Amino acid sequence: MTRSTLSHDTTAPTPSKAKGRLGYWLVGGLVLIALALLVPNFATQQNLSNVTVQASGVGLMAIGGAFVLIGGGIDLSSPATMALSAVAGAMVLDWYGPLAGALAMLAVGCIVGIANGFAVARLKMVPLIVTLAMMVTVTGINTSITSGRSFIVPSSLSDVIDGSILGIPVPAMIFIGFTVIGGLIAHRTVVGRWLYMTGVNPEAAFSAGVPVARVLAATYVASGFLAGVAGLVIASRAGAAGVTLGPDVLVLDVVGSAVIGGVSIYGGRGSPVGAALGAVVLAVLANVANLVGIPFYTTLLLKGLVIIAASGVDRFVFVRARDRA
Amino acid sequence: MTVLSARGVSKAFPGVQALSEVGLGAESGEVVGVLGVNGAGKSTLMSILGGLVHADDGEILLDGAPISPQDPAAAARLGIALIHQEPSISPTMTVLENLFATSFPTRHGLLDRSSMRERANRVLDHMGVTLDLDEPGSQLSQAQRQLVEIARALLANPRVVIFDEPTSSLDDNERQALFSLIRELKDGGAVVLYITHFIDEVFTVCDRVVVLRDGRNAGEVGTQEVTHDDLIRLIVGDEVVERPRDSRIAGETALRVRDLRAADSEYGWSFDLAEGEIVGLWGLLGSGRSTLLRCLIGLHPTAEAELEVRDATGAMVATTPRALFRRSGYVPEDRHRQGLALSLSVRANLTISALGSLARLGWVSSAEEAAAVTHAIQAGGIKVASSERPVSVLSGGNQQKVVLNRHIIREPRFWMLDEPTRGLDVGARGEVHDSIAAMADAGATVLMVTSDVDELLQLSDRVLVLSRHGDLTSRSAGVEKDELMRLAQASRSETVLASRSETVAREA
Repeated sequence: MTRSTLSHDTTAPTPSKAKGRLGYWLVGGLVLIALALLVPNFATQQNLSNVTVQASGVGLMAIGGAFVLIGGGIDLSSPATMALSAVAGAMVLDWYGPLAGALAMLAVGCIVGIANGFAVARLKMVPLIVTLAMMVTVTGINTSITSGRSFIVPSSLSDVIDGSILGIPVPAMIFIGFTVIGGLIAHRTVVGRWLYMTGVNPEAAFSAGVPVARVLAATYVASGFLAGVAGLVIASRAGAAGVTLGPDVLVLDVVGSAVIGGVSIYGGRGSPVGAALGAVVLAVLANVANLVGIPFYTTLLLKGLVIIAASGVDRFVFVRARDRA
Repeated sequence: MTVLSARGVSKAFPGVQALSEVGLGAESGEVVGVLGVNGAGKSTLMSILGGLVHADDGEILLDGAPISPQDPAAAARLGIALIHQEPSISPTMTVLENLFATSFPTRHGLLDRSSMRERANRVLDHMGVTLDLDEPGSQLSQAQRQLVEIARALLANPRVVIFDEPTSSLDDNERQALFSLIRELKDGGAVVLYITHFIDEVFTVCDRVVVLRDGRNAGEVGTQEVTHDDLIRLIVGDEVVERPRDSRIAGETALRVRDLRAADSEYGWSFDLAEGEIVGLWGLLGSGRSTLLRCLIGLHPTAEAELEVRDATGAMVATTPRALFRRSGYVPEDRHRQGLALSLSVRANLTISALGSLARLGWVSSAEEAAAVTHAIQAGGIKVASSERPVSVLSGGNQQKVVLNRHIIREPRFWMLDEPTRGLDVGARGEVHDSIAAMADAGATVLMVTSDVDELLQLSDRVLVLSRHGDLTSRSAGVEKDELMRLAQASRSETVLASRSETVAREA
């Protein structure tokens, strides 16, 4: 190969990818401008900050869910885990104070994640079944601890987490912070790069020397940890923690956010950043529907249709990539 | 009377001409052996007859009328049955259901079980085989699966029966039973085409053999008219393989392997590999060449393994297959399934094995990665418009160079190559060969599994031959092709003697 072709090779941009991303941003921007012009009260600072805060709980779980999906698995247990960690944290908080309570929430999330990761990565169990069963188990534990009651999250914690600094809501800061961290881990670290290879072709990743089992286990721990963070945010905002914080249907919002954000259910494609934006899209959808007075059940219908459409696109992109190979 | 004849059949796959104007004829009641080394075109020709693959050119005549079966079902309707070397048995279905899986007899839309049983028993009796019809497929041994596959083919009363390496999983008694079945088919006036690597079997069952080499007819001869050695010469050809360079002077022992035994095997393997040498590992299909390589680096369950590797101070220290894997550049057999993440970029596929050295505290350095990618693309001669393009758009040769060169960045001391040039065209093969030679020249130890005899002799400084019974024999680079064939064919006792004398010779 000559020097001139080589320099051409390595400096050539990737037109298709960059153009595709730009398209998303353009469409997103146009939709937001249209909403600002057409929907009364949408473009107020109060409303936009509400939307971000509403997006943050689901969004944090969607970031964790995106890691699991990129690795080729799925985590259905995160909303249930979120609720359990909120309850555990509220109880610890009662005895040992707000810092211990917050740490307990994160710890509970990690423990559930470790159990999921062990079952999937070490015991080679099927992620769908493991995490579905984990969802029911965790909710069962939660119900028996609380007997259906809710625990108050005192203002010593909720004022900090649900407050705002320099006019920016703290939940939004946490959400944006973890979006950035998630994106950096996925795209800039060794583990992130191992993860994509594992998600696309675990056997090839293994042959190339990737510690596949440890990478997969880590994705479930990340998902559990972020469910703990989401528990912290959601319970602080609600001012109370109980089983009802994480209803089973919430898992659709979590997985749906990731799929809307371009994370493939078939593994190896998408970004945690996309999943976070997907959560914002769902939050905007609910918010706008509320502002224009669309009934709740019609909103559910719209949400369902959007998620189905996104997974149709996912299938289309997957098949096209597969057939090209 | 000629029942089946093929004339001028050609078939090309991407990058390789599998068949060029191949002809074949068979008369009623004749057993014709089809012989050739791996890649000679036997399986392609049989797949065309069986409707699995469509010829680019040429014609096939059945009773003088041209046919072109579009799929296996069409071939079966014409009376052609292809019995695969890998039986397709559904583990959850019973023997009876497996037998009729391709054409269930029905009555009023429901399965006609009594007629199924009756027909199955008739065929199994005819074969002289007893099988429990209600046993699920998962309970069958490999040999029993093969028998079910054969019985399924015979249910349709075929006029042409093609056996593709049928004995590789059968023991002696089962082999004898198969041979008597073939004689019965022959007496019934059927045509039998028999593909095999085992030359002694040819003399047992075949009337005539057709030999293919490099996708062309290499010769045709009656089994009464030739000797074992003549046939081997016909199969491997008499061109001398040109070695690009003299054998290297091997350095000190880099790896000592004693009693490496797969969990599912009764034989252990022992051999040494030296620094700076290319060792070719060769054997017939089913001899376990890939298994040996995969055991060595811990990718296949291993019952026993005593490995010693030379450390930095020059002492031999014990090691494990997994540790050896980490020191090795491994190139798997199937680059699509085991080698590449096709939808990811060339860059991601190139640096995946070396990320540790391109990162600080877990963060990949873009600059160092870009430099490594440029280096690997240049060193490997990989042709790609941009390293951000998905690896799936590359040609097969360039994809293989990606798999090979991902390890170059790490400079491993050992290379474990499994069929490094499978499916590549001549140009790409040459480039990969140059890369392999460069690895050994740089002092690395290369163990290369290949089924291609020419490649084996061109590239290897030393050859390890794995016989069909799992015995390992070492030979120097100048070994003749027909001796290789004899070693690979040899029964257990013969090779044990041969390898003993070899060991003695080496020690002396």
